[in-house]
Amino acid sequence: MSCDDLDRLRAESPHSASSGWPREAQQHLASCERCSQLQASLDSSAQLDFPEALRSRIEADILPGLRPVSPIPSTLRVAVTLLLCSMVVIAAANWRLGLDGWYARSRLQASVNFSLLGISILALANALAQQMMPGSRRRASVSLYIAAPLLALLAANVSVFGYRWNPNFVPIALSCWEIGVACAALSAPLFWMALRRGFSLDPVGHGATAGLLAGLVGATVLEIYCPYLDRLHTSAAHVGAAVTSALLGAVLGGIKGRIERRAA
Amino acid sequence: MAELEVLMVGYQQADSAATSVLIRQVSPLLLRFFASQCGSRPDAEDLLQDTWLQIHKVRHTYRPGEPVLPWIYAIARHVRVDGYRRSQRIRSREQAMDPLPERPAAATPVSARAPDFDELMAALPPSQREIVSMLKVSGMSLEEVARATASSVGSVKLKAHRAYEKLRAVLKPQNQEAP
Repeated sequence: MSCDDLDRLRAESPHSASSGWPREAQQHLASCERCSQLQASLDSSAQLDFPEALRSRIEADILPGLRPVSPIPSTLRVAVTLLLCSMVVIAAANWRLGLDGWYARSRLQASVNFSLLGISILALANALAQQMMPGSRRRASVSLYIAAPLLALLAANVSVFGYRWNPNFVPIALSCWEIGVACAALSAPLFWMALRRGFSLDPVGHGATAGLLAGLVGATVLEIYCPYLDRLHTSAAHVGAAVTSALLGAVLGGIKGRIERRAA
Repeated sequence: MAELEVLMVGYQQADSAATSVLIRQVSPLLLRFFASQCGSRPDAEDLLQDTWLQIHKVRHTYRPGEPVLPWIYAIARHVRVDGYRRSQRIRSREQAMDPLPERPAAATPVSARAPDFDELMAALPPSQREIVSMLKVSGMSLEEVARATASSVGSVKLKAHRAYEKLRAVLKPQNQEAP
């Protein structure tokens, strides 16, 4: 066994004491001075001295103002609440705007688009619910949670929709983008209500994720409402509304984080 | 570690005895973590107090049944970063009146006796230092460290492996030091 193998063993089983290591590792430890020195130093980390006065100060800061608090709801409960909020906004907006986009689509286009939107909304709702608790399990980084749905939607738009030249591209796209952003703005306060008790360690990332979830709600409303099935239109206006909403979420999250830091 | 979870639930329910025990059990670990991160004992003590104030403020964000140490360490890291930013801001507005004493270079080989843990940690970059500190001082599992640092288990393993490699390189065998 080499020194490198021993480092790997230390990294992969950080708790096991060297006495519990395989015989080869122990033989190496006995013969290699550097490895034995390193092990001795790492073992010395367990020796701690803690001043009683400091503990008393901490207790004096905390114990007098101790009141019971109810813990934040479970990840599942928060995620379901976020999904319900999303569905309420989508249903209300499309009840008012109509279902022209739904009827204009082929079965393939509808299944690809709505599956992707559904999966993305589910994943983002779950990620946001988890992020409410510091130190919770994370399956992917915030940037992946933001980039993956957007790239997947763009790829789906390019592959399932064709391109048709439209002289009124800009006004139509602008109108759809406004509707998408307005729907995102409608869902944002509902999401805030569901997430307000959490403590995010990354306010910008959390804001961007919440903004993207709101933006995807807006994009879903547009997909159901808008009958213009042109890849450029859906990418620029529908996905564009989601991108705008994510950016606004990141800015608002950054401002919130700054305010909290100043207050602290 | 299940005991910590019970104590944490007690803390949420305003049980002062449980809170006291929790403070007694976790504070030495956190102090060691901060001391190995910032190098100065008074700074580490300040950060520890700030961390407990922050923990107290957001104690409702702990979900019963989840591991406690990743939750506490995630908050501690956040406080440390805030503290670092604050000190940088203050330092940028200060004017040094006297020349600062020279600090020993971190990467120089330490003496041949088994060096002190903190002495050894000084040779590591902060991201590796915090991983080794969580694994060795707090006895956290790879999964718990991954949660606390918002990274994957694979990344924690890699950082720990690189840290041990670097520490081994810093150590100098006795036979080399002898004249």
